[in-house]
Amino acid sequence: MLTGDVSSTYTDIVETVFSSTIAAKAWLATGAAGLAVVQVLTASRMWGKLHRVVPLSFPTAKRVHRWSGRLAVLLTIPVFFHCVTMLGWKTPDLRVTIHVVAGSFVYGVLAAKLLVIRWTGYPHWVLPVLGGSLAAVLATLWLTSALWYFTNVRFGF
Amino acid sequence: MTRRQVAPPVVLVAVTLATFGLAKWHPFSPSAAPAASAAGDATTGRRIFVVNCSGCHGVDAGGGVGPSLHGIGLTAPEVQQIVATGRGVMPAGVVKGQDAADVAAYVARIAQ
Repeated sequence: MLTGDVSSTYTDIVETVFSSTIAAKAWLATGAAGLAVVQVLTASRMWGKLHRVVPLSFPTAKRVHRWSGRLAVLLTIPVFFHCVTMLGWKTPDLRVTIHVVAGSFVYGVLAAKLLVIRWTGYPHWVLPVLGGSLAAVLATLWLTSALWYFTNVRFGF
Repeated sequence: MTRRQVAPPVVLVAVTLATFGLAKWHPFSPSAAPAASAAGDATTGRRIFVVNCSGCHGVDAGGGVGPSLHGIGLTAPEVQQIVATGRGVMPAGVVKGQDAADVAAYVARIAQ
């Protein structure tokens, strides 16, 4: 009874804004992927790269990096809920298989990155590698879900 | 190695495995809902269709990777048979049990 109520309630809420839960996932993932690009650019600026591409001071880049990261995580929560608790682990074809494998890693990499940020003493390469890995995982998830949906099913809300 | 050095990879693996386990369980799957009746319900079927089938057939069953299902003339038992056995690249058993009956009722309604 409860499980049906949860999925129905979630679907009802999402369909007040989007045409379907799948469309909602595609657009929320697109938002998160866009913010991941912001994350990569501002992180590069904080590490002394891309001065001309990202003309921000270090404190501003740091602030934008933190808030874009928080917003990106928020956007992924409904996507995570729908993918993991409603659709579950499925491997009917290569695209979906890549998607579910990459999706399993996303919060693990995020948690590890947050630990490395807060604790000092790690080699300098650890944080960029984790951040880059997180961006790569998000890009993989977007390419195997939202881009596929927009190009194969429909481009709309 | 100190505990702090070990923590990030341990957390990475633990959270990844937890996500995998939750995905295998997927406790809020519409198919985890108990059967409401033996006959298919088209309204419930539409909801299940959107979650499980719209990725290929489109949100309104108008077609995508898979074909449009409007006006194809299939009856509910025929749709249920195709769902159970699969067809072409469509895998068998995408939805099962009462969910399959509900989806069949919905598809049969728009197929006429």
